[in-house]
Amino acid sequence: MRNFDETDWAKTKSLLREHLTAPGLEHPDFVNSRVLEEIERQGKPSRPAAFPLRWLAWSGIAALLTAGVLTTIVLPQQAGRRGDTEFISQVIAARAESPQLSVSEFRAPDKRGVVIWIEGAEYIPAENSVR
Amino acid sequence: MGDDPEEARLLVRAQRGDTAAFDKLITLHRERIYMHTFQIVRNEEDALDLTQETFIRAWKSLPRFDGTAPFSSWLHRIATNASIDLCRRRRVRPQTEIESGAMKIDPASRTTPSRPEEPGASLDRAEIRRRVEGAFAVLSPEHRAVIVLKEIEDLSYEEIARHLGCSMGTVMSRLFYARKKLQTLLRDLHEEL
Repeated sequence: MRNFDETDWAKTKSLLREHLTAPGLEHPDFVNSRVLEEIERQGKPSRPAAFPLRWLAWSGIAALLTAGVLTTIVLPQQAGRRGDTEFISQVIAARAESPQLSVSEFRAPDKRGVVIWIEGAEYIPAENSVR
Repeated sequence: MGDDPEEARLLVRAQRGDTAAFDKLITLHRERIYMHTFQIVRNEEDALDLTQETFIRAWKSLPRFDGTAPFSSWLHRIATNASIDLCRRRRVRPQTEIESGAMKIDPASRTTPSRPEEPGASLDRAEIRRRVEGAFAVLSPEHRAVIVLKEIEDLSYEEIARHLGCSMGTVMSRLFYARKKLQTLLRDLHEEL
């Protein structure tokens, strides 16, 4: 593949070295002043941020989209699958020990909630006044 | 960061944003960077612009300079890439006297344009220079860069590969084709040596 020999190349190389010369810089301080002027204008160099702004913006958008998908699609489906057995507590009966108190119990039509209405008490004491 | 402790100190200060230290670094390297860019673009005005651009790019990237390579090599790498970018952007070859002067034909001329020297005729130095610059101008920017780095600045294949951000195989291949082309274009000048 090599169709030129080293001696031939040595001659070409010497031609290049002899004639491809570079002139010196005529006004060297001009370079400094122009560069410094430009970097003063641009300001101090800054290290690349560990979390660039664009990356943070995309992360925020992705997080919002995920939250939106969860609240509109996934969570309602999960809620629909809940049965009565998932309730933490169940009210069986209500009875007042004090004669001044009256306690009424209302059940929701779908039997998934109970309201206990207490009258005659300004507060419910910690000990078992209402059972 | 290099062998020169003074340069290392200047670099640390410049990395903290000290422009006075960077000014001194420019002074230390401006001449070599200018000559290096000139070798690739062969135009004084462009070389001057590229020298400034090299230092501005260097300033911006200075916080990322980790000192694994000498500062001068790092600067030269920036300068080479800036020079190649400029040539690619313009899609023009470097100006030479052959293209800009000697080959122009004066419309008012009554004589035929001057022809290249007859074989055997001795060429003067200026003519040889024009021929060499003309041959160099034919090369692509990448080929010019490897010729400058290898044949004029005497860098090793490994250094050139690091410099240009390519493999050693690519460097060898570019060098082979660039040499072959130059050799073909300049073979007749061997008689003049």
